Amino acid sequence: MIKTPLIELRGVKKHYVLKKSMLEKLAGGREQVVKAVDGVDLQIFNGETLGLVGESGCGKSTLGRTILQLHPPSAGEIIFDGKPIHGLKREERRDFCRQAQIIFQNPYSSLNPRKSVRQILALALQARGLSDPNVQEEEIRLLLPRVGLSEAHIDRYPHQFSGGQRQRIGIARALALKPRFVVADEPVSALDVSVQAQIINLLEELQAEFELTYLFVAHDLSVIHHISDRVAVMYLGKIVEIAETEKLFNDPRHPYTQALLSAIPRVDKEARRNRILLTGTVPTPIDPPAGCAFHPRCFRRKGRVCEEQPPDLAYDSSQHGVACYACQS
Amino acid sequence: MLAIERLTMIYETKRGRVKAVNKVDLSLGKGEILGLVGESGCGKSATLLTILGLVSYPGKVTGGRIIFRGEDLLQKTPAALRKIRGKEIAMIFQDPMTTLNPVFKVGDQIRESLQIHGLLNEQAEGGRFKGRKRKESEMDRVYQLMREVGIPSPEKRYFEYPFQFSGGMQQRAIIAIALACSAQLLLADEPTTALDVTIQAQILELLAKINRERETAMILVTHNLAMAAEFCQRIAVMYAGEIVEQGSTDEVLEKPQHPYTQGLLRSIPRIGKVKQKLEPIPGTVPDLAALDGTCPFYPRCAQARPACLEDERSLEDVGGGHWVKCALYS
Ligand SMILES: Nc1ncnc2c1ncn2[C@@H]1O[C@H](COP(=O)(O)OP(=O)(O)OP(=O)(O)O)[C@@H](O)[C@H]1O
Ligand SMILES: Nc1ncnc2c1ncn2[C@@H]1O[C@H](COP(=O)(O)OP(=O)(O)OP(=O)(O)O)[C@@H](O)[C@H]1O
Ligand code: SF4
Ligand SMILES: [Mg+2]
Ligand SMILES: [Mg+2]
Repeated sequence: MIKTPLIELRGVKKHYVLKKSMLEKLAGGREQVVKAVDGVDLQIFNGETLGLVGESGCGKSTLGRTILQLHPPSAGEIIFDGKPIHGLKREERRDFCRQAQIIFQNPYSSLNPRKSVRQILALALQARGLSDPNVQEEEIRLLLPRVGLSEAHIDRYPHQFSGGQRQRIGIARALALKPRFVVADEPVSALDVSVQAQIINLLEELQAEFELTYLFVAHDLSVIHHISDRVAVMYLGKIVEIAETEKLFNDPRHPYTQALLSAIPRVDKEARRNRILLTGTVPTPIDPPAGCAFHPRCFRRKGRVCEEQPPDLAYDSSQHGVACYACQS
Repeated sequence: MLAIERLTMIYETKRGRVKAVNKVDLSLGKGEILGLVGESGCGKSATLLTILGLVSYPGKVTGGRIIFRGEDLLQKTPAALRKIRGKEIAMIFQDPMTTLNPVFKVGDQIRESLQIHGLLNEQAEGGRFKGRKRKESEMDRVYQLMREVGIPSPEKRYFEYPFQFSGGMQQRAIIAIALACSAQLLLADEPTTALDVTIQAQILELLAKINRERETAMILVTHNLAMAAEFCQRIAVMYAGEIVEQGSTDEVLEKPQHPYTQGLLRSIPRIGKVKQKLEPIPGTVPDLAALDGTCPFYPRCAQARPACLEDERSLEDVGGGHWVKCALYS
């Protein structure tokens, strides 16, 4: 099977400039820039689930939002279905916004509390160009059972639902637009384990049914392992390793990935590995370390080169990419 | 060391009486680590607060005993309890900011907890130091404690405020405060939930070290079964205010007996196993204000039978210190 990228990122950056107070301006000093996403090259293939992991603040949500054009990239190019997004005409752009959707982590704050399920979904359908109330009603009644809700829920408000049910509403809203690409930003992190499985299964079923492509962000590596075809590991704004899921979990190469995977607690005793405990403090994307951003915590540092020049993401023949000097032969 | 019997605590609310802790039995030996696992709202924090005597309105303990080193904590005066909390039982709260005060320097907060517990040099050394000199020696003790919990360059970090600490460092400071008293029992409520996996591993290693070196017994509250599996010798599974299963970690995870524990284990993805579809537990957790004394898991249980709705169930020993509360076993 030839894999075609649905989405391609070339050198994408997203920097936030922190506003300075008057006093700070008077005192001079440099403007502070948060390099939330700092040069990402990435392909997301049609129909796959790409898992995205990395520690808090490394830029996962920012990357997802940048792809969806929720804010413009500071640099680089995003290509959707073969066409650069920023060159799209207004009409095409609206179409892109419909085809690329997001499911948020927090099912509590991502739904308008004053709107009923019917109103929330009708609004989404409206955006797809369905404005006839009868057609809307019919669509909604088809949609609800698809996400495990019933018609009895149609006139209820978000606060009348449990966390898992609210996440289902969020999923229904994204689906209402008939998207091709969905960024799922920690969609199950706020849910209880027993409910989490319901939502994961639902996302898997919907993917098969509607041929969806997912960018799936999660901090629970067991969930990532379960749902992803490929996994990308992010560290301070950059992808440091990317590979097929089993390859990454069986043969992690980047020292950060190695430490991360060794630190996952396991239920099964046989699956436990020797733990690599990192030392040093977690740096911030405001003033990231020069060279390889991981070098202050790295246990396989190669000396000067790691401190001076950021390593490139280099792929082997099996499309296993690593950005680390210690992994280059 | 700690034996809890039929402990019950309710919240009187407008919706009704919320049975947050419902006839809970738990025991803990010296130096032992017990994992208390369960889903959100099942009463884990409420259990710890009850042990500490920190239940406040609208909560009310309505029954049971908490035998700590031979004495029932429920019979103690508030003053006596406060003393025990300071000296013998320490707690790490779920939300770091309930422990750390944002407007004081972290080092001073650790020093203050040492002072409260009367563990500073003035006691040990018979008040040899006065004024400035004394403060210096107290600070040395704080540095030592900060070093012990892995806060780097304590001489600098002492003077920083909580917001200048990362989440992991805040959690270390909180552990330092908890360690300031040399407690024999540490109650840790989700101590690593907000932290990244690599930092989580560091904090757990720190707690394991404290357990090894000081023989501190611990109750670790978590919703993460895998974490309990790695860290705890015994596990108690809580559902809707009740302990439904309790036993050695291996027993509970490898031979789960309660349908809820079995369901939980089938619903979590596991790395290293052949990937298969997850089997969620149908339905949702019940409203704790609407319990009627029958098995709270009944509506979600695949093995439910009429007997489940009959009289009260008790914890039954299924062998080897493995206890289950389910009609299938009584
Ligand atoms: N609007 C903003 N203005 C300034 N800085 C921001 C903004 N949004 C995010 N950041 C910063 O950018 C960095 C990346 O944030 P982002 O939310 O993408 O991280 P994340 O990987 O999703 O983290 P988490 O796992 O905690 O959700 C962080 O340091 C964050 O503080
Ligand atoms: N002050 C209160 N008033 C009324 N009900 C309360 C109060 N505090 C807690 N509860 C209820 O008591 C039950 C037990 O709460 P508890 O905080 O112990 O849960 P938990 O197991 O610690 O959950 P989590 O994993 O979310 O921390 C919940 O149903 C909660 O809604
Ligand atoms: S490039 Fe150097 S510092 Fe970075 S991870 Fe590899 S060995 Fe470590
Ligand atoms: Mg995020
Ligand atoms: Mg709690």
